[in-house]
Amino acid sequence: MSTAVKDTHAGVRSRRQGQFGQVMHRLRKNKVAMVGLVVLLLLILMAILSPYITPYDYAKTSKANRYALPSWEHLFGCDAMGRDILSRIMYGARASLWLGLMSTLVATVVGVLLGSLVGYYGGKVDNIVMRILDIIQAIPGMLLSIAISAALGSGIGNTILALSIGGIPMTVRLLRGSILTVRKQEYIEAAEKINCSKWRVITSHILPNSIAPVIVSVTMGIGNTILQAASLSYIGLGVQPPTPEWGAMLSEGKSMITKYPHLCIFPGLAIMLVVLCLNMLGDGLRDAMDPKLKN
Amino acid sequence: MIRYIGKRLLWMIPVMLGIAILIFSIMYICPGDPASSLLGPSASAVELAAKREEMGLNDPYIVRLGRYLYQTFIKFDLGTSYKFGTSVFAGLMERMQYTLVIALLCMALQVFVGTPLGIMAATHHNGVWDRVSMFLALVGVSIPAFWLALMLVLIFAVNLGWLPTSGVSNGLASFILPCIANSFAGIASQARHTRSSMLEVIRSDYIVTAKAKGLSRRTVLFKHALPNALIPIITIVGNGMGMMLGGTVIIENVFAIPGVGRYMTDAINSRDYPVVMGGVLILGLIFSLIMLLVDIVYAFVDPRIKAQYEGRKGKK
Amino acid sequence: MAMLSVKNLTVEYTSEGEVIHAVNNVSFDLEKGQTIGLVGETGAGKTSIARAILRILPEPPARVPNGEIFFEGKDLLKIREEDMQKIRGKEISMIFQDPMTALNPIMRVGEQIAEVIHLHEHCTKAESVEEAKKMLEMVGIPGERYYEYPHQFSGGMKQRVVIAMALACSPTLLLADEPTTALDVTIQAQVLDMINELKQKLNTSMIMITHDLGIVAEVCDTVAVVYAGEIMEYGTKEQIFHNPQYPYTIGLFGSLPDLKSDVDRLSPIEGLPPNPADLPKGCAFHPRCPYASEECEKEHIELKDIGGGHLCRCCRLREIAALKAQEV
Repeated sequence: MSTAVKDTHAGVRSRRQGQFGQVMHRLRKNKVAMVGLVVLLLLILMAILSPYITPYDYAKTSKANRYALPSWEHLFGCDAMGRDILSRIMYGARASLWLGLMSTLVATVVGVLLGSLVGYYGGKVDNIVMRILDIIQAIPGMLLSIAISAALGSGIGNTILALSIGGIPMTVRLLRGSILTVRKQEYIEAAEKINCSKWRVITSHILPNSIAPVIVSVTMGIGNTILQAASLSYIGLGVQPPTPEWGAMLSEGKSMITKYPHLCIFPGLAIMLVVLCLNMLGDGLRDAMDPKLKN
Repeated sequence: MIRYIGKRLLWMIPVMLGIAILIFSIMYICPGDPASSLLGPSASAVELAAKREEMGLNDPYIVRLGRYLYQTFIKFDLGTSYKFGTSVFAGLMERMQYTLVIALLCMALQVFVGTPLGIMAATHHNGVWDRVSMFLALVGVSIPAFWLALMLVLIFAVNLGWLPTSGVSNGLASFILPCIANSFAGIASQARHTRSSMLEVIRSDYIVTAKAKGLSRRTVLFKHALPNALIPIITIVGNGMGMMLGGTVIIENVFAIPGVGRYMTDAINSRDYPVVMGGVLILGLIFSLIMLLVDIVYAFVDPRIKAQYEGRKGKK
Repeated sequence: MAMLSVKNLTVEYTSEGEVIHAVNNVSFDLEKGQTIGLVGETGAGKTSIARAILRILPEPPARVPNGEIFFEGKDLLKIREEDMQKIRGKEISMIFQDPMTALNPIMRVGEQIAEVIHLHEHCTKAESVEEAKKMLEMVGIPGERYYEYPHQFSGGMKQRVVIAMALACSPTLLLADEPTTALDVTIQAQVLDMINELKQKLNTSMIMITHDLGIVAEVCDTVAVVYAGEIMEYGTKEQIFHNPQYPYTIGLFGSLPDLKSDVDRLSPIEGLPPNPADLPKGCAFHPRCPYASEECEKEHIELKDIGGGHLCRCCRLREIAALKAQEV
């Protein structure tokens, strides 16, 4: 008997490690995802430390440096007011990352609450909430963000609100669909039959088993939100100059793009890099959570 | 089936009402005074007050909402643009051609470029082609469309001079760069979804069954795997249309294309609310119709869903 | 030479860097019209054997590093894919385990049968439709249900469709992979009867994969007991049922309920099947074997003839016999 236990040890251990441990284990083995994660963490670190590590003051203007091309002194060159673009990008990471993270967080929290509510209770609640979401979703997302952003005015807080409202329906739908699948499983019925409270059934049985698609979509969602935020700033809504934000920098630079393309190239690359990392990480998470999809 | 479509069409009435209420409320809390942006900075306080009264801006929310809904849904009138003094509906229709051309071309690109790319990646799973195309697709979904647009202009219009930088005066050539920029992410995401859907289907038992019949690899892939793999993709296409419609708003700004999106962003900046509300309603209507179309297409490709729509129970 | 001769077949899977040894040096012969039963627990590698014969293993992650499968004189592992396609569905066909997922959900049921007929019998579309309807009726489904979709069929009916599909071109060899596991007991009996009847009518050879000894008793001529990807015991049905020698086989019979003898508890085999990525040294069954000794762990044990073609992979047969004699 004891030898039998020893031989199946590997299997037992991986089961004991728990779902989370296994996911992390698989994620660690995924090189692309790890590169994404590391670069992302570095960028976040850069954003946090930006007041101390930028080569120049991001707001300092200089007549002499107007439209300065990239050089050793100013790696990414300078903008229309002679401000160092590298410093502005480093500092701008704060606004861009914050916008992406917070909008997605707000959308996710509201979405998960609503989603578990409608997914679990179903019936009337489900009907009402889903019909309201139908309405919100009937407006193309970008359009809705533009309208709300116009109504609330510019600024980071308002932009977060504008972006998150558009993200709620998707999270709700995703979680609801996932919950509906999980709900039909027998172990949920089993938990109900042994008189688990509804709250407990939701939090300890349904959510852990249906949250995986949400986690993946959140990771990817941050990237998408950053893109949307930049688009808003670009058309003059959202975050506005002189706040250093990547979309806003593009918006400032666009009129001079034919003469001084460096004004636009670098902020765009910065956006792309962050979103790319998030997507790399998101892909890795998806594969790690659903290993059968990988091979 | 007809009953289902009818039901869905009927359901669109409350959805449109909902959109109208929602967008009206959003515009209601918009800061800024349409009267002053209409009369310009030189207008006196008296003039402004008179103008506001004339435009009905002093009435309470519920009265204005009621008036708006009555106008829109009973008289089918989207109102008059504050700025141009012309019919909003006519203004939208006049510009719709550009927006629709771009959105439809982008859709076509997404479907007819993205799908084959995804299929090729899936059939060469883990091969060089798969890795290269999937990396490109990953980059593709990470590029801001408007930035890509700027870069394309920089390369192909400014430096190479092959294509016009902006406007619509050059026929189809004017739409090439806007469409590439606007559909790039769509193509990439279509390829990614097609690939993963295809890979999932290839693993299913019925594909093994098909192989065990002695069918060639080609037949298994294209007759059995592909139709099944494309079912979930239909939703992506529908959503993509929404993205394209929203995306054109930005792209039209980059390329100075006088479409609905440009009309609407200008209207937002000049507090021309009837135009904004009308535009959102019309685009919402188009989007809803597309989503209905998507669901109908579903019924034609998947007999299980058709049975659901028809309320007929499977003989179990 | 036998109609089918499998020699030293090995199948490996690679998963997350680990190599899983699913099938290890399996050899057996099958004569025309005969049925061999592959018996063993889930995960023992039975399905991999069948899929390797038809060359429909998922590659990658699966791989066949060595082995030969002679079917009517040709080594199936060496012939070109195009030639293999002519054999699949026509000369060798397979009944799959799970009827719920084995049919294409968006293709008419009848079409899925007609497809294989049209492919191999060189007939017109219309003829293949007629033939498919006949096949449906043969398995007890009205021909007019040709035009329905899988979701309109019950599990038992779907399995009949799968069987009709497998038999449509009168194959010489039928691979039945647990054809009744997913079905109700009453339907199980019907399906088995049907397979038996059709097999006799067409003089088809069959490999019956199952973990159900009752099914073996009903349809098989010879039996191979598979454990951890190896054949541990092989013999005629009578040899295995009346005189099981390998401890695992004995254990299998011990875990069967028996109406005649009055026992309070069934005696299951203790422990779990070994991890196929990390098989125990020596006899793969020794960690669970009640008769194991040190010598079982030492080295790999060969399959030995213990009389009349009855093969067994055990080094302690004599000791076991002595122990048993004591017990009685």
